[in-house]
Amino acid sequence: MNVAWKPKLVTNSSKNDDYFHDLSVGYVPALIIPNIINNEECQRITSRILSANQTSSGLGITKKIGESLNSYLHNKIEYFKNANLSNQILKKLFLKNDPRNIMMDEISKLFGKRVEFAKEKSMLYSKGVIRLHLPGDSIHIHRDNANFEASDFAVSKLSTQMSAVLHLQPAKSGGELKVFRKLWQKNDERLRNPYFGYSEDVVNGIQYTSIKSNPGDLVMINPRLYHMVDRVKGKLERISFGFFFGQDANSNLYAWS
Amino acid sequence: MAETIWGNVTKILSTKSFEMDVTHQKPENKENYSNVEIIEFTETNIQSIAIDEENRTVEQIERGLKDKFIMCEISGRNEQNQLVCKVSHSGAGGY
Repeated sequence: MNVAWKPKLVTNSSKNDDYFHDLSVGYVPALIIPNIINNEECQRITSRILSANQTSSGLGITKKIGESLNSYLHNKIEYFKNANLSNQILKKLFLKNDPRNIMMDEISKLFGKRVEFAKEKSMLYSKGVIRLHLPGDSIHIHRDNANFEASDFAVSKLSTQMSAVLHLQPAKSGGELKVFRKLWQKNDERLRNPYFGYSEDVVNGIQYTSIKSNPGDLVMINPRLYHMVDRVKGKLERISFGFFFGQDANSNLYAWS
Repeated sequence: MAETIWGNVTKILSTKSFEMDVTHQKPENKENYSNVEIIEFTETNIQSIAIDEENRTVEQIERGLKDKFIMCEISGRNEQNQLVCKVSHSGAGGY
């Protein structure tokens, strides 16, 4: 029998040790802090993103602004070079009301831990990615796991990787985040797709929950749980901004993308 | 275009060879490959593995390749019937 497995809506961003634990072991599929920025601010950022003309493509996505480490697993020098450039682009794009400050503050308050963007030998990691999912786009089933996949990078030594996504513009319909109640295991690598993600067999018969992308909501998941984004329908692009964070031995959190 | 197979590294055999479970084959491949193949690698894009064989250790290769999903571009078979390949990690399991 499937027991309810639903996202936890966090209405009071106070320190709660259970939240971090519950998310890290998959007791809850997601923590959602609603409306960390208001609709007007979401629209302002969305409008700047759409007029920026700064998009590129990457693994598993056709349109994004910012760099993802997994596109550079074996090209560390190039990653840090491009991360530096994309950090400047994002800074200009967000200007003074940078939503990352609010996201980091909410994460810090919620978990009662310090959080900052990761560095390696004074080089800054990429400070997040804006993902634009076009009508007809979907994101195939995948998991995110720097521990296993990015062993050349210092962030692979952080534990309990989490994903933080701020939703900016929802699709007209579709585009829901689907989180499956299954954590990645090494043995699942036999079900990898050659270019991105996994065969659907990896989640065959597994319970899942769907999360609607409400603008202004901060959605945190344990990205070792398999997840995907349903096909975007209608004319609007689904736009979100996200990064990962993980914990060091002193319980400080470091973020990257 | 080189014949190409994909799969997971199951066992490191030496500083230049490993065993893999073959999970995918390029549809255009002309040869058939077994479910388990031994690979002798001549080149890799994995930075943690030294380019020169004399500078490699089995432990270093285990860290870089063991259990990983990889792509092998095949140039032929050696005298031991092992596949001689250029090896790279393939795509990504996520972002």
